Amino acid sequence: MKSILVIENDRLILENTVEILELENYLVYGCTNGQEGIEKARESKPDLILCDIGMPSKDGWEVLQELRCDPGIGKTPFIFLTAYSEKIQMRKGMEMGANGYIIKPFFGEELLEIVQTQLNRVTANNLNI
Amino acid sequence: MLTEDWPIPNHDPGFKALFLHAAVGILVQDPAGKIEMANPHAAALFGYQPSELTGQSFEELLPHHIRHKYRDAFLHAPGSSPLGINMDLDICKKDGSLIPVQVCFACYNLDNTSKIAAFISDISMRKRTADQLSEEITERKKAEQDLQRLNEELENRVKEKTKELLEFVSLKKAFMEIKSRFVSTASHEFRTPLSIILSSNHLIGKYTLTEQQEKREKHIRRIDTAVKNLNSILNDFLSVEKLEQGKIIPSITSFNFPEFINNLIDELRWLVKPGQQIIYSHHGDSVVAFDKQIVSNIFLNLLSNAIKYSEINVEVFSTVTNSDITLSVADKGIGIPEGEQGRIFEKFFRAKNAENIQGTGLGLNIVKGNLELINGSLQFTSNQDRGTTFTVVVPHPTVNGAGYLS
Repeated sequence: MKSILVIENDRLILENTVEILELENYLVYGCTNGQEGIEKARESKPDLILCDIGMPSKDGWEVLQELRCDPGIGKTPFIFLTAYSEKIQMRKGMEMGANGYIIKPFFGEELLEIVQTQLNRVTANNLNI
Repeated sequence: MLTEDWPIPNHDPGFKALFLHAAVGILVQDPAGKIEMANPHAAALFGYQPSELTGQSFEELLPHHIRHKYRDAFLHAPGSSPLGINMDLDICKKDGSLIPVQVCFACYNLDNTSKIAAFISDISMRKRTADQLSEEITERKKAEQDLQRLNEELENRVKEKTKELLEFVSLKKAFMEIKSRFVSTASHEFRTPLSIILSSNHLIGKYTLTEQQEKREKHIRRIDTAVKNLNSILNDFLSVEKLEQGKIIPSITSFNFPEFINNLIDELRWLVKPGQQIIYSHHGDSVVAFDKQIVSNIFLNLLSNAIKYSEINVEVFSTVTNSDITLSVADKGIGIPEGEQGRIFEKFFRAKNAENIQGTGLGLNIVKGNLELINGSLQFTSNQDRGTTFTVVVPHPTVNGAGYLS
């Protein structure tokens, strides 16, 4: 079973996102701030991370930067899930090494498709396809 | 009269020629100042016949104010000296008119008798030219002054217009900035409730079994809350717009104040966090006459902030006295950083510690705008991480007192 870490400070969005992913049989961890998210990522080593940007106690940019420097989970697919919809913010995210950028509001299917694509890519890389 | 016949004693021909043909008036006087001889030019200058000048006192041809000067200088102490050179001296003509002249006197002895010769030049032409010149200079100076004044006026107008233009540009810039803030805030703030609506809607679609009714209901409630949140954001923007356009006109109705506040508290139940309570207490009279909408705009914004920025109970107090209503909302939440307390009424301002909590940054600006409409005042105390208390005092409206009924 693939595991996903969702870092999102809005309680209801977090709960709904976790629920959507769990219904697709993913093992999901949820955190409500950046620092907590970094700790959970190191501890649980998820297969993929979905992360908000505007958050207390370390924002999404800081989370990505810190995790990318961590050899244990530095290569984990990292997708921003954010209300920051400006192109410049999106470019910043991608330049910092994010694998995807989902702008809120998002459709459940869209989220699942992006998550699945990223996980498939990792699997393909691992199998050297 | 022919110059040959001119009544002068027999002088030598040279003197006679000089005397008769000089283009300057010559008068010769005896020591007493009587005119003994006058040449044709002098006669023409004064408008006399030659015989009329002879025997006349020279002094009488002079204006009164210089007669004594003449007497002292020449009759009492004769010598050779110019009088009136480089100064305007007016001499009386026969017809009484004055003529500007330049006079030079010379004293000499003839047959042991001293004589005074006066040489008189008509300077009226020169004076006229000088006057004209002076007039022209005055006019030119006036024209220059006019030009300078016009230049200054033009410069001032240019400065004024430049100032107006700069003010307009800065206003336009401020307007564009507010518009841009408006769009980006609206866009950002709408995305959270819309995400909840879309994701809950997705989940409702997944829960198709009868026994999953509870889950469906949970998500329907979430959609309701998100829609209320969207509505509240919209109301914030509309309130600011209405306040700015002066579209809010207070209208007074009588109502039960604590009952009204309780209803407003109920309206915000959807925002209350699990375990959080709103505790309300009221003192004094219950029935008041106020604008309900304005009270609602003020209270809902203060209460929603208290709920949003704290995790535990929020306390609401109201007191109605004969003179006013006091309403306070106290929370034990994140507080407002001291350095930012001066800016909390600015449009779109979000304190650093509130940036990640949903909000438009318009609420307190709306509170302030509504309070101004009803002559209310607001005070607050806040400590970061310990909480904030806002206290609003509004005088009872009276026809002439509070003013807004007029």
